Amino acid sequence: VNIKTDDDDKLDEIVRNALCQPMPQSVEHQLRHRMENVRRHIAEEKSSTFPRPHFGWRYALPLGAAAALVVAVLSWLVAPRSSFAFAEVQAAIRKISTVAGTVHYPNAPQNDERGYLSADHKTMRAELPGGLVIVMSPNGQRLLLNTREKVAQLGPGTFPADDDTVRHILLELANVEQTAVRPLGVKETHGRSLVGFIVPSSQRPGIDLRSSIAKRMQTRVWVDPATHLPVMMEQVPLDPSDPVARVIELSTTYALNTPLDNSLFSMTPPAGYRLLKEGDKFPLPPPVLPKGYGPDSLIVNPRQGIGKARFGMSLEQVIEAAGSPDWIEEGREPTPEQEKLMTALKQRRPADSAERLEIGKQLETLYDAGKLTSWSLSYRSLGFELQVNRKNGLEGIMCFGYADPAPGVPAPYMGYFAILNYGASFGAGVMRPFVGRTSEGITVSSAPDEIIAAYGKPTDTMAHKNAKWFVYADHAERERLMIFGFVDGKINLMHFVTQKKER
Amino acid sequence: VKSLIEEFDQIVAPVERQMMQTVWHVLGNVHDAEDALQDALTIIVKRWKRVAQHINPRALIVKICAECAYDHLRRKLRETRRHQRLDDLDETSCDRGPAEELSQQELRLQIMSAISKLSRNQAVAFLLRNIQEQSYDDIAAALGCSVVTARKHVGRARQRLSVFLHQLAPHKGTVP
Repeated sequence: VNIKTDDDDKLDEIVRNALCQPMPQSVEHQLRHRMENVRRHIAEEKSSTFPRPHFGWRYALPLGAAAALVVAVLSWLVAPRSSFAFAEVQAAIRKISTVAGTVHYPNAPQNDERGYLSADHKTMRAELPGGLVIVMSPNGQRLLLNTREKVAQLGPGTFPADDDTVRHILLELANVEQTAVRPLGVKETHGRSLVGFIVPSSQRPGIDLRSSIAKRMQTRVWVDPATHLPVMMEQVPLDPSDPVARVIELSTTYALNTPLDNSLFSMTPPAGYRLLKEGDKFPLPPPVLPKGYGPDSLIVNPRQGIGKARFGMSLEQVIEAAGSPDWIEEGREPTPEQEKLMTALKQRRPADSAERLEIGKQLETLYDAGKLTSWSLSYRSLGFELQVNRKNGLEGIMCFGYADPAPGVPAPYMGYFAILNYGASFGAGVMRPFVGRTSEGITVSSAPDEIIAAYGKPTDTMAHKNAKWFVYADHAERERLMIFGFVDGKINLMHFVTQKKER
Repeated sequence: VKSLIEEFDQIVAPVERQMMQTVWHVLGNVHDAEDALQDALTIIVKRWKRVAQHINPRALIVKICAECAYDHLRRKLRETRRHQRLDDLDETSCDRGPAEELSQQELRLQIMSAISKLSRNQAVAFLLRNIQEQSYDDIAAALGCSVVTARKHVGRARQRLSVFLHQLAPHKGTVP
């Protein structure tokens, strides 16, 4: 057989002769039988099951998976990665000297603040909204400045323990387990490339968030690749729609090891300032009102609510109406078994601090395991707090007065500021007495007689030492209560409560 | 249902024999031919709407058979190469003597091997042209390309086959 040819026709002929052998009867019979089977199958099928063209859905999954794989591989190839380990960031943090930082609260920008730490880590300065400046020295002195009214006051002030300084927050980063830190890639901000790392909340023991909320947050640290020093630290909710976690969302921008003017840390009031005597009432600057607040936003109607926030509103509605609070806490109710365990733990006498810490952790775990029942929304910079029940919605409004100190009432203008870690621990805002009034014109400066003139004789009156309470109960369809508390004849608390009557 | 069967019979029945011949000629083995025909019918039934609405449904059906036969041929040759068994490839024994039968089988094997090395479109175009003697218009319609492209497929298949066959049998000389 010769199969070598350059002639097309010859080639065709060779191929045809080789392949086109006659089909034997037996083969034709078998093939025809196969065709008949298919035909019968079609005949037996109902029209609904007769194959219809589809759009290749059977390929959708493999194609989708392949596409996802390609995207993942490309992202991995293209994604900028840190060229250094977090260990180098930790080494750089241990050597920091000065700190200058700005805290930004994305949901409450009126609380944004600045802070500074001197090179010897002994003096701190906080610049708070509205023109309030606080300088704290290590010798137990505190300088308060009202930059608007040019007023200064020197007084005793506790320098926060080292655990509470901004430096400590950074040192805390220096001590986290490297294996727990994950790279976050690179982002461009203000013309700079920053390298990101994710630090899990569990690795930040110093953060004193209620753990149930802390677990829902993530810390992101953005580092300058040239100096390996943090430039920004963000505390962001894992779920952006989580209304509770969003309240404590913040980002701190740092300038580390930069020369700071000594005048920032001077305990001498600047020239032109009027120096108040210790014990004189220091004029706090007026609060910077949240966006959307109008003239009626801080008026309490005991039967309706405060501003746009109405009794019965859900947590989300309250935050929408009253703005993001300065701080939020979750109220939980333990089961009887949990209650029993908690009582037993509280009765234990710890032998040392390690055991005390362990008991504290166990108590916190038990507390977190309890059923979520309510939230406390603190608008401390405006002097009030809202209590929201999970079932009944907004059911309590507490307005704080100026008595200092009083049992159960936070002292005003303690000077909490985030730059000293308080922001991460207790939220933002300077504590103020309530800056609003009731719809009947009662303020925290009103006298008992004015309250009686506005609301009549109280249903009940109580007194203890220098404190006195007026209670107004309304036993109509809904249980309503108004409580006015006085210390030394001045209002220190106005509490408006509404509850569904138990039947 | 009846109308669908009627439609199926109307389109497929006239090309039944062509379908069977295509798979048989390419594969030369009743079992492989059966499998290839079954595959082709499955594809045709699954894509019935597309087949029925095709500009030349019969050419398309034969082309699907040629494709399935080509796929089976490649698979068979791959498996055969793996097992080094070429003896069971061919069943096309006719009324020939043993020597003639052996050389015919060898030639067929070489041609099948060469065809399996062509691209799918080239192989299908070449088979439709040579086995079914289809016009270039029908081949173009079946392949979904222009007539010029169909001619190019066949031409290139011929060129490559010629080269393959030269390589396979360099000692055989040239056809006069």
